[in-house]
This record gives sequence, C-alpha cells and structure tokens, in this order.
Amino acid sequence: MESIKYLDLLKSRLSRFFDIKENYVLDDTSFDLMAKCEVVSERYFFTKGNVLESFNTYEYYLIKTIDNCDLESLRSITDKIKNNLQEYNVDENHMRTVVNVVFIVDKNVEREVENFIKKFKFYKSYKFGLKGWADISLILVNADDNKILTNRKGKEVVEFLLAN
Amino acid sequence: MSSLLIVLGSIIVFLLAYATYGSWLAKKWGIDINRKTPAHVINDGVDYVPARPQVLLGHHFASIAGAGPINGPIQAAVFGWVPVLLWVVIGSIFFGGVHDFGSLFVSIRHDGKSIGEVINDTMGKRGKQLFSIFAWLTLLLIVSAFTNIVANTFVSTPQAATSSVLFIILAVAFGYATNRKGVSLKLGTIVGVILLFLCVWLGTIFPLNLSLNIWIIILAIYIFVASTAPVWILLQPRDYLNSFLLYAMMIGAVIGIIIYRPSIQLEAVTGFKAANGQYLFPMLFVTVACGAISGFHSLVGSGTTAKQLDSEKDAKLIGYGGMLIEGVLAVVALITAAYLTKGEFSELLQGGPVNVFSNGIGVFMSKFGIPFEVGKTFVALAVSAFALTSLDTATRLGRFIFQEYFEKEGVEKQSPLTNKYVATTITVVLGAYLATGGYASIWPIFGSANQLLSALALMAVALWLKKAKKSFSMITIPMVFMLIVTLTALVFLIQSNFVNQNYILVIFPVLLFILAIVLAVSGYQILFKKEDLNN
Repeated sequence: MESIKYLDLLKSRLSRFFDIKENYVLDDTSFDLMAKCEVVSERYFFTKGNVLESFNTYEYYLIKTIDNCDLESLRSITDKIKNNLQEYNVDENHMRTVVNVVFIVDKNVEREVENFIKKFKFYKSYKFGLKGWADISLILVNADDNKILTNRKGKEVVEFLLAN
Repeated sequence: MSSLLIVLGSIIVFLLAYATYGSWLAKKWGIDINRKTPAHVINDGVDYVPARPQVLLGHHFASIAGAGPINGPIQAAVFGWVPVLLWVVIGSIFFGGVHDFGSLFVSIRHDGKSIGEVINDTMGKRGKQLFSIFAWLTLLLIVSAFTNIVANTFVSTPQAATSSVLFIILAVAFGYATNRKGVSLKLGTIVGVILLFLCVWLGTIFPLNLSLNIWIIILAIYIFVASTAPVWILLQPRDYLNSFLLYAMMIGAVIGIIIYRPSIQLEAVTGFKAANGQYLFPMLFVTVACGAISGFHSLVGSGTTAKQLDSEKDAKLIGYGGMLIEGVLAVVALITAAYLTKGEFSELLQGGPVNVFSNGIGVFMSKFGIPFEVGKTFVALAVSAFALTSLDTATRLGRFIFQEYFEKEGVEKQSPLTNKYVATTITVVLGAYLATGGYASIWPIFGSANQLLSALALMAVALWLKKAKKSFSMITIPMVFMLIVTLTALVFLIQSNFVNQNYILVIFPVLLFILAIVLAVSGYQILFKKEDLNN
C-alpha cells in the first residue's frame, strides 16, 4: 500500500472518535495529520451539574509521511515533542496524555533507526503524579509491506494501525 | 428455629415476589420490550451503550450495596429478630423494590436522565436551596456515622485495622501498576486479589491497637486526603478491588450458613419499647434503613444503569431484583445477630454492628475450614472498605454542595468558603466531631434522612406516572408510610436529644422535619389536586 493511501485509511479510522487537523505544524515540524481525543470521565450526584469526581484523558496522533527516514531527523522531531510535553500545561482534572507519533515510510529503514525506535522511552509525571502523567508511543509503519515497528508503549496501538 | 430456614424462606419469598409483584408492576407501568432504550436510541459509544443484563446487575448491585444493609438490621435487632425480618422482607418487596424499579423505569423513559434531574425540574429555586441544606446535613450524618462505625470496628478488631491500612497501600500500587506501568487488568486483578488475602493474613499477625478517638482522627485525615486527591490514585483501584471483597464475603456467608445452620437464640420480639428506650414504631423503620428501602439508591451512582439498559424488560431484573438481593444481604446480616444469645449480642454490639457481623460470618466460615480469626478479619476489612467508600463519596459530595451554596454567579472574587480545601475541612471536622458522640445516636437520624429521600424519589416516580396517565396506587402507600415514619421518628429524636441536652443533634431532626412537611404539602398538592402538571 502507498503511504498516501495508508494515511487516508488512518484518517478515516481516527475520524470516528478524534478531532482531526491536516497539515499540522508543531514548532517548525509539519505533520500530515494531527488527531486529538479528549475523554472526560465523571461520576455525578442528583443531576449532571453536581460532579462528584472527574478525570480527563487525552490521546493524540501525530502522523508524518517521510521519504528519507534518517536517525537525525527522527531524533530532532521526537526532541521537539518531548520538550512540548515537558512544558505541557495540564488542566485541573488531567490524568493521562498519550502522544502516538507515527512515521509512515515506503521502504526499509536503517538498523540504527530501528534501534532508536525500539529503545525510545518517554514518561513525564506532573507534580509528583498528582496531576497525572504523559507517555509517547513511537511507531514506524512501512506502508509497502505493512510492517510496524514500535517502542514498548507503542505496542498498545499496533492492532489499530494494521492495514488489514 | 434454624437460620438456614429463614434465609432460604426469605429467598423463596423474594423469588415469588419477583415473579408475581415485580411482573405486575412491569405490566401496570407498561414495560415495553419492543421500545428502544436510551442505550439504543442515543448509543454514543461512551455513556449510552447497551450492556448484558447480568453484567449490569453486577455493576448496579456493587453500587447500591454497602455497609448500610449490614449495619441497619443488626442495630435494629434490639427490637427482636422477627420485626426486623418482616420489615426487611416486606420492605424490600413493596417499598424498596418499587422505589428502585420505579426510579429506573422513569429514568429510561427520560433519555436515561437520573431521577434527581426529574425532581430538580419540579422543585424551583427555594426548594433547591432547602434541599442543598438538607443534603449537606445528611452527608454530615453519613460522615459521622460511618467514621464512628469504622473506628469502632478497628478498636474491636485491630487485625482489620492493619489489613485496611495495607489494603489502601495495595490499592494505590494496583492503580499505579495497571494505569502507569501497563500491567494488564487481568494479571493485575489476579495478583491484586492474592495480595488482598495476604493483607488479611498479615493483619491477623500484626494487629494495630489504637484508641477510638485516635482512629477517628486518623480516619478524618484519611477521608480529607481521599476526597481531595485525584480519583484514579486511590478511589478507582480501591473500589475495583472492593467488588471482589463483596462477592467473596457473600459467597462465604451463604456457604457458612448452609453448612453450620445455626439456631436462632435472640428474642423474637422484645416488646414495643426496646431496652434502649426507643419505640418499635417508628424507630425500627429508620434503623433498618438501607436493608428495606434507601433513597440514596436512586440518587447516588454513576448514572450508568439507565443509560446501558439493553431492553426495558431488564429494568425489572436490575431495579427490582437488585433491591431483593440487597434484602438477602440484610437477612444474612440479621442472622449474625439473631443466632447469638441476648447477652452475647449486647456484648458484641458494644464493638459496633460490624463487630457483630464479622464475628458471625467468621464463625460461619470457620465451619468450612477458614480459621475464625482470618474469617473475622476478612469480613471486618470488607465492611470497613464499603464504609470507607461511603465516607469519601459523602465527603466529596458534602464539599461540593457546600462550595456551591456559597458560590455567587458572576462574581469574580468568591468567598473563601467556596475553596475546595476549606469546604472539605469544614465537612470533615464537623463530621469527625459528631462521630465522637457515638453511632447509636447518629444512625437513626441518618436513617430518617435516607427514608425521607426515598419518599422524595417515590413522589417523583408517582408524579411521572400521573403525568403519563398511569396508575400510581402502588407508590401511594410506600410514599405516605415513609413520610409518616420519618415525621414521627424525627419528633422522637428531637425530644430524646433535647432531654439528653445533645443540642447539636436537635438541629438535624428539626431541619429534616421542616423539609418533610414542605415535601408532604407540595406532594399532596401535586398528586391529589386537579391541576395542570405542566405548569
């Protein structure tokens, strides 16, 4: 499958539960697609206005097609996302934010890129965990042979990303 | 008389009631199996999702069952076991079951909105303010009653105190492992449940002996933290693990009674006036509280049941059936008191109703090989865990109502009383202070408030049925009876607390009495006078 077709497939899947922005720019890096899903969980008493307890979870997809996937550009992009999450302003009821960073390529990548993705790890706790935490899932999809490479956190979304 | 006969007899009566009266209610109200429920009409994939009735019943029962149906019948056993049993059985069938089933039915015919929203629409601004004061006072009573009950349990069963402290640590670790470390829920649950029983065993080895007032202070600090900390840190994982405690306790209790078959030794009826000076009418009906009917069943909850009902026919199983199962739990609780002699019962009751219950179930479970001390600690831990859940829910709610009452619309600088920590501190400190007075004086006032809430919910159901041109005759008697019970009980409570110079506890029943009168008058005007209900 071509990268563009695969991108369309993801867009159609995500559009059911996510708000989608195309050609999204984060700092000076452009992404083909940014998808955001905010889930507010609450328990109330008497009426919906009387919220007993509430917590919010956020899931983002940052999807980018890349022609030449080299380690340097990958590292530069992930550093920018990490910096953004370091300074992320969490809301009162924030519990969890997951950023799924998906790179789509058409050909095999070098071994060092594979290793970088597999070993990538990011976890940030806000105010000692009282304001929740953030994780990054790093995923590389080879649209040509439908092979998916992820870091440990990214394994949770592999099924969703499979082309078939 | 054999207790097994009482439990089996009650279950048979409940099953018959389910098949006959429950079906009659469904027919009278026009339960329509072909009508689409909100779960199908709205189906947003988030709140409104059809669920299998068995799953929904489990969720609903875990939400409504707590320490209430255990404490109430044991406390009321001072009037003898027969009146308590009769009220639990008759109350669950004709009062509590109708209340829960009716509330659920009205809710599904209102796009899954809670019964509270139906009431809210009919009360007006003044009514809502009055209701806020009433709700906050009721919540203070819950905080004080349950704080005292848990503290008493920890004093009488120090093993359960150690287990409870370890259980809280375990719940936090369980939440951390499943939420943050990606441990699967299945694996987490297996390990969590194993460790839960390890907590019980460790409790029996290292009992934590502290005085009642020290425990009240520790519990006050705990509920302050639990009700202000993010829910996913402690409350969510703890409530999840709690459900396993509930099921294990119920299974253990029923098997224990079947094997042991203890004989009833407590007096059948002690007379119209009990040894504590209270009269059977009306105090029995407010003391049993949640064991027969509970207003909180229709008001507290995630509001999920009505939104996930797959078919209208499931409302009978979940609404009516759920209350009858709670009736069975109340009967089991009663047995733990009734199999004792009068002297044993009085002695154990000094350690609180949970002490009676955990001692009884501990003895029953020892008949199939569970060491008595382990069994008793396990049950005391389970009931304390339910009470702690009620405690921090009540504190959260009390804080919310308090904040909202002092909030002014459109004003930038709000009063310090609207601050989350100030509102929580006031609620917790007052609740803990009242707790030092003992649960015996607080429990009947809490029972009255709860029964008054049930009358309010029944009134809302009757109002809806009248609006829908359906018969509400099955609601009239429970509603009127609960109002009479509440009013009479409140008069007795005002009098006794005044005589005992316990003036703080006079304020609560006086305010509840005023509210009951306001409700009775408005209810009469709405239901029995010819007027346009749309106005």
